[in-house]
Amino acid sequence: MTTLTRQDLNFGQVVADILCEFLEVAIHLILYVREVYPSGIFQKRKKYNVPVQMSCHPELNQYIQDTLHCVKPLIEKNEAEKVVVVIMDREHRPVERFVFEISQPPLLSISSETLLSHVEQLLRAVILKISVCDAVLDNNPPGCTFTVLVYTRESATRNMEKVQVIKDFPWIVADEQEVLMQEPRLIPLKTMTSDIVKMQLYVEERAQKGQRNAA
Amino acid sequence: MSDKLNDWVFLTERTLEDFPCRVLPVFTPWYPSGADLYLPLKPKNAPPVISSTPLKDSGYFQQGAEFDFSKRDCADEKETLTKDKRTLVRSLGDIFGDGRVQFKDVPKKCKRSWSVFSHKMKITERTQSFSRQFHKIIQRYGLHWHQRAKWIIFEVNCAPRSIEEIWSRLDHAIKHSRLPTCNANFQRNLVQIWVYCDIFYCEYIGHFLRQKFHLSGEITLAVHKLGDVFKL
Repeated sequence: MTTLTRQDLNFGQVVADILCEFLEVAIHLILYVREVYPSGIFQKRKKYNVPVQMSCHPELNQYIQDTLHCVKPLIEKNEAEKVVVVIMDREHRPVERFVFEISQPPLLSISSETLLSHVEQLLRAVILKISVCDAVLDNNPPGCTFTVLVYTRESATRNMEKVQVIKDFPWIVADEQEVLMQEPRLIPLKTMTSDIVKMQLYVEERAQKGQRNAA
Repeated sequence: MSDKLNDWVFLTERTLEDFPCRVLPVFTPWYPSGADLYLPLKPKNAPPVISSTPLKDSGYFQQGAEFDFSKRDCADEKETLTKDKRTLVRSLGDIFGDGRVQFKDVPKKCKRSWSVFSHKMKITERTQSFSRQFHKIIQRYGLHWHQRAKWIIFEVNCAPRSIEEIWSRLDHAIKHSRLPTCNANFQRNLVQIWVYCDIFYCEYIGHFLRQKFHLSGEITLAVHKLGDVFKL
């Protein structure tokens, strides 16, 4: 067992790579499971040795890739606290929030033989939970859309420059109405603890999805 | 004696006093956490909107639901789905990917042999009408709306005009977004024009080709693996 700091071996980058790859799969799967997009645009693939649904629509794929490309530097520097996939109704009010809470230890105790395979097992479990989460969630109203929010450990405006990685893909501070959800139902899905990253995934679900949220 | 009595009175009074009411502190839930005080960042651009209205409006929604992956227990259905998705991937690739690259890379002097539908313009014409005959074809072959099909224009269909002239007019129509989901290929060696489109727009496109380009005779609609399925 070796103890390393975050600077050693550029571990932040490794963690960011792993997490962004995972988040890409997770976002595709959430969009499929929660029926944000027609099922016709999704194709079955294999990731972490389990079947997942990935979009084959180039514009959507590019959007997700661009989003995560911008989030990556924040994860790399351990400045992203939460990545949230928000599903919104036609009035752009959140109906569901899939919250990925990320925490990275300052000291990394790793052993090479367990590192990646163990992390993969844990991520697989999270993916499996997402794929069956529709069983514990109510149906969403028709015409939903989505957005990805990034909660930073410090004020968002301080991190604005770090997230503006792609010129044609600007970022802004989210509106309060897009963020706040009145009396949400909290549905914990999965937690994972590995040597390099801790993550918990839960869903905040609006109580009455059919009705407009009184924010 | 009187002291004792006073003590008893005092005790009795104390006992009869109301219980003090403890003011409960305001409950502060752990959620939302302090970190939520910071508003998050989000991409300024909205994600693309991919409408499923063609499936819903068409009255064939149940058939569309056949392609839902949530029915995971049917092996045959899975195969159908996989095939369908492959078709869709190919079609999307044609529209957004390879087609566009080829379109750009063709030198000006070279005769263009591909034309790809542009998404920049909105379709103004009505495109969602189907004949009963075409409905039957869709039902008989179990075709999906997003499945690709191909209209084949032969040289004889173009008479008295040349097939090159028809091709140039078709290229213009596609580039001006008059033929939704279409990409066309001029098979010069076969002297045929292949117009690929989604099943959903097939009949509209067939009529458009016949009427606008004054095609003679019948044009044929072919679907991969099924062959010729319809004539117009």
